Amino acid sequence: MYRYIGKRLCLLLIVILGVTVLTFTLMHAAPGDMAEMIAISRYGAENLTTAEVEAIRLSEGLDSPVMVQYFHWLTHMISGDFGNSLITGEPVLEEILIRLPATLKLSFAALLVSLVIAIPAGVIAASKQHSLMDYLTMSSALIGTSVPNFWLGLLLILLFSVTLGWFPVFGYGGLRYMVLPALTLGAGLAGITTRLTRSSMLEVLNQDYVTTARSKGLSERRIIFKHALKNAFIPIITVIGIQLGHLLGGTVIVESIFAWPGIGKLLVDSIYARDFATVQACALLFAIIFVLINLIVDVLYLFLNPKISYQKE
Amino acid sequence: MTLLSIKNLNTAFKTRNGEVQACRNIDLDIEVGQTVGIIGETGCGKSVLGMSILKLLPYNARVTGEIRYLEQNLLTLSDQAMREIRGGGIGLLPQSPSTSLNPAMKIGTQIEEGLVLHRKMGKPAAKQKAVDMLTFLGIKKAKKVSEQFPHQLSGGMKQRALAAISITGEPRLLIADEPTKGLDAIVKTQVVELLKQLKAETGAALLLITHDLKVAECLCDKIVVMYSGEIIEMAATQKILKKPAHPYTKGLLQSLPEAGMTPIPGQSPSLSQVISGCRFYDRCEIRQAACRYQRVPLSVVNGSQVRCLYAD
Amino acid sequence: MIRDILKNKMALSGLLIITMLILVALLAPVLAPHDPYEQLLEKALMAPCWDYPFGTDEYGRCVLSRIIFGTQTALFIGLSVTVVSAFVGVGIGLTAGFYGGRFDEFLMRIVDVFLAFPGLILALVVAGLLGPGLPNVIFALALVGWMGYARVVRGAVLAEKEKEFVETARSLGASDGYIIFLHLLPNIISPVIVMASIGIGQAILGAAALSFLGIGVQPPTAMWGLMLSYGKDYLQSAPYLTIFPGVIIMVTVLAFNFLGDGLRDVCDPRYGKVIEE
Repeated sequence: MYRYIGKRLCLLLIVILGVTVLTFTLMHAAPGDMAEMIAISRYGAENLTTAEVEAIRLSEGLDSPVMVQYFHWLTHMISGDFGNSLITGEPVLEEILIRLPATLKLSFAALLVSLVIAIPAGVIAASKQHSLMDYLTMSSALIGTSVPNFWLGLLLILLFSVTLGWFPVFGYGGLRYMVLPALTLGAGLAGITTRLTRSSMLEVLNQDYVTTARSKGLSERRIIFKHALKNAFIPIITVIGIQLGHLLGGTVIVESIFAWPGIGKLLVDSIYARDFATVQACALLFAIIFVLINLIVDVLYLFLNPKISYQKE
Repeated sequence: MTLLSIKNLNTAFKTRNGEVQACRNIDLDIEVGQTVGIIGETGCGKSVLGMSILKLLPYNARVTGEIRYLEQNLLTLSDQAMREIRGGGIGLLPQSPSTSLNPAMKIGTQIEEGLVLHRKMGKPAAKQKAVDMLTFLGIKKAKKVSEQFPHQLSGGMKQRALAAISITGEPRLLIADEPTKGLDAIVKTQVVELLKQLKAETGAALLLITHDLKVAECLCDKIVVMYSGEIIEMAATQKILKKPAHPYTKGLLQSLPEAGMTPIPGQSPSLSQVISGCRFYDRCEIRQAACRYQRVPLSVVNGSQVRCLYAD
Repeated sequence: MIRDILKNKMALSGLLIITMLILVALLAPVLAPHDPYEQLLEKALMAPCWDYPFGTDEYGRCVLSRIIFGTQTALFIGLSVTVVSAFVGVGIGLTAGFYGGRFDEFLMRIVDVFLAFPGLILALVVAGLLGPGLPNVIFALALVGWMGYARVVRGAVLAEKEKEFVETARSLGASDGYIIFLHLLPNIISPVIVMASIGIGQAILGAAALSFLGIGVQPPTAMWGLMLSYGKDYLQSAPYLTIFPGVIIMVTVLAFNFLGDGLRDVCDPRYGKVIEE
């Protein structure tokens, strides 16, 4: 099993290296002269001289071959230097670390919301397959996956903030501020997870060992909770890992709607401001978090499934 | 005394391609302590018959007729009452040992469940009893095995564990669904011994579903031959083996290795096919014009019940 | 096959909605009650009424007409993104699966790298860096949409490759390209169609998300995401500016999801299997 984890870690490093290449390439493929943009950010666009631009080109190493620039950038990054923001001049990493907790909080709250809705809904739908309840649950789940989250966010604001006044329209603070963003972000995930839980449960309920359990005369309740659920969880957890990626992607939108001071909003703002250094760092960070989550999920899967861990040992 | 009495049982499945009728007009009695073998090739409906008794069929199944266990008609029983019959009145030894144990639950726990439910045992007593049962069924180091997960057990051990599960509620009828399917000769003998042991221990009646005539011969008092969803012959074991009446039963016996392995030509009709006459017509050597359209009832020929117009 | 699709309620309802959307897009100039670009400031922010069923926006433009014309934009984006990403993905999946070895390994790592980004983030960064414009949005969304096709197709090719008929074809002297196109393609077409159907909806959703964030397609183009983006400033005074474009996005995405799900049920032999012994 440890060999497997080791192998996964190697693959992870390769993928992260690839991610840096891709991010770097994107930044360099973007239209515009990087040196000029940095110069503008430092001295303003009005009284900019060619000499100043050229000086920056030299000092930032932007005149050297692309490969050299890449390795320069990579080594700096490994030592924790993600460069400075083109707007504020502050180190990018600092800004990101300040904002990271807000994004993580929102993501976990959304995950929690989706699981609290999805697991019971999926289990009930599966155990009452082909019933009205099943159809209703599945239709709402499909609608949940199709609702654009930027629209859902606005509707929730319209209903709960503007009309009812229960929650603040936007901002960051206590639990009251978290409810609407977490609901918005969690709804889509809940739809997907409900569908998955149901199909996973159905698959398990068709297994021979469930027939054995039924032949013992066990109640349907015990069959679902003691026999089926644990087996159904294994595929569910894998897909939740993948879905977390979409969750991270969704933070960009939800944070923008609710003015939530996380990395997603930072990314969007930096794109508006053409702050390449920050965009680069944010994109990289999103990718690394996502890849790490997937690794954790895979390892968790090993521990949950006694069969696999036994074979690998 | 009759333990289980099946009258005019029909089991059909609704599918996208129409209705599949797996059991047709089944009439069958099982006496207390009796061993009855149901013989037939794969797809003849014999396993569906077993599962119909336990009411463990998929949602698209429709069962009509009557299944009387002691005084109760199982088909009209509430879910709650049916659960008490399952395990407590009628136990199941399922078909494939490799997939019939919950991979995420310890062996011991899987046995204890039935003990707690049907014998009202406390957890510690059930735990001890589970170990005892495994030991009784020939598992060494039963204590250790009861703490293990199914994937750590060999095929034979899994079957023994399932055997233990099937008798935890002290059922009066045990349904063994293809217990020797896909096993080699030595293991097969062990399973036959295991079934004898189960019977001796519990005194339960046994409904043995198998396609293996030899296994049925070793264990059964009475043999029922099914073909394409119907019972086509039913008699005492020795009677059916020595003097088979239905051409299909004769064919089955001739396809045994010691009889020269002569196969019956052709294939049995699909279970969804509606046939007004004899379902064996296409493959029958002694067919007559009448067989094709005339409904053939079970009738008594030389002491056997046979569904054939020209049986001798 | 087609009969199975028409029998499947989900696929059928998806198909019906999509047909209607296509008709609306084609007949937009006839159906729209007003010019979607005509600004009549004296009619700004009118609530829904007989003349303007969905009201007017802050420039006095007819919301219904803009939604109708937005259908053209949405379907165009959905289709072009899906065609490009399916084409690239299938091509890469086929070559990777067919040639195998190091080459396959290399291509699959590239797939992994693209999959390492949450889809919307990569699209956002790419579209944001490239700057405004419809082609840039299509490029960005296609860039994040091709990996699924590549993986599925590669897997199918690997499975098919082992089967006998490829060996037979090869022993008869068929070229690689010939084998790929004649034997393998028919076997992978159905999962690709299912993915493409869902992909169109996802592309429309992605484009709407980008323009909601103000990245990609620029005003005054009639586009649902953009309408939402500007409408949200009038959430309190003119909620209809937010509600109607959102409904149409949802219905469209739902229709493509329905079609995809229905098609999967029809294509997947495990569905509705006969339960026998």
